[in-house]
Amino acid sequence: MEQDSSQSSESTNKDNEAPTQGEEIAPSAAPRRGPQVQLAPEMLDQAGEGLSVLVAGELAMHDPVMGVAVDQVEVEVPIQNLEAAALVLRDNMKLRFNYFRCLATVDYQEYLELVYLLYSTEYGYQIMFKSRVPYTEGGSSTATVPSLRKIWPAADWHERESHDLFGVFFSGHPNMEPLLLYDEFEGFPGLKSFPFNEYEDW
Amino acid sequence: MEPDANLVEMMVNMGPQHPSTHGVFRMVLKVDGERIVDVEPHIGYLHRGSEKLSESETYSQVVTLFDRLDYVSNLNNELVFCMAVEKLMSIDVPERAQYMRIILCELNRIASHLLFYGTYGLDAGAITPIMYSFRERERIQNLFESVTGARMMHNFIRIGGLKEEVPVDFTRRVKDLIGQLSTAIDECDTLLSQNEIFLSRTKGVGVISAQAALEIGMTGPPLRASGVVEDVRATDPYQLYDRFDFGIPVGTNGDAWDRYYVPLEEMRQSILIIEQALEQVEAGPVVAQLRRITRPPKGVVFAHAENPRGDLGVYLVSDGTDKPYRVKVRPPSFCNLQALKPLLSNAYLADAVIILGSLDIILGEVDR
Amino acid sequence: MSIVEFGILNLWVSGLLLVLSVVVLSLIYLERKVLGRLQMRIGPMRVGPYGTLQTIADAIKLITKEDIQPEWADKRVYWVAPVLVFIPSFMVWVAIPFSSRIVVQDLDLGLFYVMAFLVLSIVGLVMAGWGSANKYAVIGGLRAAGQLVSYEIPVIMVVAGIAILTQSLSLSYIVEQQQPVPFIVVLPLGLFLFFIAGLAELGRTPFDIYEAESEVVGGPFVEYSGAHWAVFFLAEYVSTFAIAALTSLLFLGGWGWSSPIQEWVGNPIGAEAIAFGEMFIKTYLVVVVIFWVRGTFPRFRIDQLMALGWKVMVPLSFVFVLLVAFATFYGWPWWVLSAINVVVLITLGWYYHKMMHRDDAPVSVVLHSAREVRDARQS
Repeated sequence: MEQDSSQSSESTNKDNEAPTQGEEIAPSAAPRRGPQVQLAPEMLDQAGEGLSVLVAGELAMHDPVMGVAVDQVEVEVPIQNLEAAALVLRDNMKLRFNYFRCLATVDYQEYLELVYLLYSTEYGYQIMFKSRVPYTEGGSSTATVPSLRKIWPAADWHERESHDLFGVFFSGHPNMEPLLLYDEFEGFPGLKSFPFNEYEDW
Repeated sequence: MEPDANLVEMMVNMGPQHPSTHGVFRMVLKVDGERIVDVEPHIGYLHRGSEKLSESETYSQVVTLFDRLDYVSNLNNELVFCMAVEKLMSIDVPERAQYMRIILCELNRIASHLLFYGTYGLDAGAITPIMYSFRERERIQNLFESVTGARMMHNFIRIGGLKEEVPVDFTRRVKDLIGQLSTAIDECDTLLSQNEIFLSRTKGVGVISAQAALEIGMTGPPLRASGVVEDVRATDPYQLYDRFDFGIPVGTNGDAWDRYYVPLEEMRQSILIIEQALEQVEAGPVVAQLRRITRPPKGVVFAHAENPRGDLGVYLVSDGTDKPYRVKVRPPSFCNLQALKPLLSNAYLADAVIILGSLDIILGEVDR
Repeated sequence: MSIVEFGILNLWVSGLLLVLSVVVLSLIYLERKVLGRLQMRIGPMRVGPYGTLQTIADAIKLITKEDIQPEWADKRVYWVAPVLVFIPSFMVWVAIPFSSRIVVQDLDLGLFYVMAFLVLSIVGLVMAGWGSANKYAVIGGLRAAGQLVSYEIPVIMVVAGIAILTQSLSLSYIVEQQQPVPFIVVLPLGLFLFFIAGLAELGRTPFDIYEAESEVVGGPFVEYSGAHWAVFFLAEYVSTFAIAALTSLLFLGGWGWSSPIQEWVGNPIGAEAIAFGEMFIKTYLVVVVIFWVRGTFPRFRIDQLMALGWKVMVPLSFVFVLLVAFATFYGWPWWVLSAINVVVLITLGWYYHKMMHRDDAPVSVVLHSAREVRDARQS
C-alpha cells in the first residue's frame, strides 16, 4: 500500500512537470501497478460538431486550432490574433457570442493559457476560446495580452483578477490595480511556482 | 493648504464594516450631498484562495471548499463541482441520487432566497420581514440537519451521488415543509411587496436594460429581472431538470423591485419542482459504484448550474492524478457585482443600499 | 420665590427626572415586547420575570461601558451635544399635565412652551453630527436638520389650529374644551398631520432617516458609546413619550372621558388617580401605535421625505389652519368641521393610492414556461 501511494505521488510530480494538453504520458514511465492516465472522453453532440465546423470556418483567417473539452467546443488562436478573433466571435451573425461568462487562467508551467468562456444567448452556443501566453521572465511573471474589455465589458474584473493572481498584464485595460489581493502583496499566487505552503508573511 | 471653497464632493468610505454591505465589501462613494457621483468597489477582504487551495486537495476534499464559496447555498455549490467531475469521468449518477440532489438544491435555493428577502427588508428599513423569512429558513435548515448532519457546509453531495441515503421520513417531512413554505412565501409577499413605501423606494430605482445587463455579464435573478429569459435549468438542462415543468420569472422593468420580486417568485417555482420530484422519485441506489480514490481522466471540462445567485460554473483541469490541476470558479455574485458601478451612478446615497442589496451578493463567492 | 417654593420646585424636577427615567425603561421594555409580538417572537424573557429587568440590565451595561471619544472629534461640541438633545426633551415635560393637578407647572402658554422646546433638540443633533468628525455622522446631522425643520411647520400649524379653535394655549384648558366631543372626531385631519409630523420630529420609522441603521449606521450617534449614547437614547424615548402625551392631550381628550366616573367617586384623590390612569393608558396606547408603525414600515428616502413634507404636509396644514379659522369665525357647528376634515382625508388617501399604483400591472414580473424555453433552445 505504501509503495502504491509513493508511486502515485511520483506520477503526480511527473504530470506536473509537463502536463501539456493532449499529450500522452509516456507508457514506459508508468509504474508497475500505478494508475493509468486516461484522456477525457469526447462527447460532442450534433450541435457541438456543427458549431465546431462553423467556428473553424468563420475564424479561418485567425489560425484556429479546434479541440473538444468533453462536451464543449474549444478553439485556440495565437495571442496576436486574440482581439480580432474575439471580435469575430462577438459580431459574426452566425455566432453572436454576446455573453462573456468567465476568464480562466491556467498555469501550464511552460506557458499560461487564457480560457475565455463565451456564451451566445441568441443561439445557445457555448465555447471555450483559448489563447496561450508565454512566460516572460523565466516563469515568474507578466505576459502582455490585449484587453478584451472593450469587446465584452464584463471582462473587466475577470482580467483584473487574472492580473492579480497570475500576473497577466492586459494592455488597454484602464485599471490594473489589485482586485482580490491587497495592494502591497508581492508575487502572483495563482502560479504553480508561487511558494504556496511556505509563504508566511501574512 | 487653503481649503477649496468650491469643493462640494465628499468621499464616503462604505464598508468593509457596515451593516448593509452584506459582508466585508467596501465601496468608496463620492457624494455630492445626497447624490452619488462616483463609486469604486473594493473586494477581496474574504479572499481565501479557494481555487489555489483546491489544487492541493483531493477531489473529494475540494467539495468542502465549494461549500464555503456561497455559504448560504452550499448544496448548490457542491453540486456544480460534482457535476464537473462526473462529466469528466463519464459517471452515470443513479436517478434517485439526482432527484434527491434536485430536491435538496431547490430547498437550498428557497433558503437562500429567504435570506435575501429578509435582508432586503432590513436594507429598506423594515425590520419585521427578516423574522418571517428566518422562521421558514430555520425549518429548511432543520431538515438539512437531519439529512446531512449539518446546517451549513453539508458536504453531502459527493462525486457520483450522495453521501448516504436520506432518512426514512424524508418524503413526509419535505411534503410538510413545502406545505408550510408555500403559505409562508405568500405571507412574506403580502408583508412587503406591495407596501407603498417599499414600492416608492424600489420602483424605478437602479434600472438596467437587458442589453446592458448582458454586456456587463449579469446573471441569475438580476439578469432575469431585466427581461432576459436565461436560466441554466431551462437553457442548458443539467441533472434531470428537463423532466420538470416550472416557470421562469422574468421582470419587465429591470429595477430594484423586479430584482426583489424575481427571487420571491422563484421560491414558488422551486416548490413546484420539489413536488414533481417527490412524485417521480423511486427507490434505488444513491451513489454510483466508483473507486475510492477519484482519478478523473486527463482533460478539461466546464460544468455550470443555476445557483440561487445565478450561473455558477466550474472550469476544471485534470492531469489524471487525484488532485485537480486547476479549478476555476465562475462566481455569479462576482459578475453581478460588476454592475454596481453603472447602477449607482447618480443614484441617491440611500439607494446605494437598496441597489447593492438587490444584487444579492455573497462575499464568500465574490472573493473566493 | 421663597426658599420653600424653590425647594418644592426642585423636588418636582428631580421627581420628574426619576419618573421619566422609569417611563423610558418601561417604554424600551414595551417596545421590545411589542416588536417581538409583531415579529412572532416573545421578546426579552430571561432577566427578571418576563424579562422586566432586561432594560435595567441594559442601562447598567451602558453606564459602565467605556466612553470612547474619537481622536479627531471636536471635543467640546462632542460632549455638549447629548446634553443639548436631552435638556429640551426633558424640559418639555415641565408643562405637560397628566391630570388637572399632576403637573409641574401648568403654564397658560403651555402649548407654546412645549412647541418651542421640541424644536431645540435639532441643535444638539447637528452638533453631534459635526463634533463626531465622522462622515456618516455629518450626513446624519445634516439630514436631521433638514428633516426636523421641514416637519416642524406642520406640527406648529396643527397646534395653531387647535389654539384658534379653543382660544387658548393652556393644555388643561384644551382638555376641558374637548369635554363633549374630543378633537379626534372634530379634527381627524389635524390628528393625521400631527401624528405623521410628530413621527418625523421624533425620527422614528418610517422617518428614521437621520439615524438610518442600514445607510448612515446611526447617523449623529455613530461615534457615541456608553453613557453619552444612553443620554441620546433617553432623549429619544422621552420625546416619543412627549409626542404621545401631546397627541392624547390635544386629540384624545386627555383625562376628560372619565369625568363621570371622577364625579361619581367624589373623593379628590381618587378622582385624580382615575384621571391620571386614563391619560396614562391613552399615552401608552399612542406609544404602542408608534411602535407598531416601526414594526411595519420600511424607511423613506430623503428626497421622498422632503417631498412629503413640503408638497403634502405643509400645504395641508395651511389648509387645516384656514379651515379651523373659518369655522371659528363663522361659528360652524363641530360636525361640519368634522365632515370637511373626513372628506379631505378620504380624497387625500384616494389620490395617493392612485398616484402610487399608476402602473397598470401590479406585478411586473411575468412567468415563462421552462419547457417552452427548453424546446425553443433545442430546435
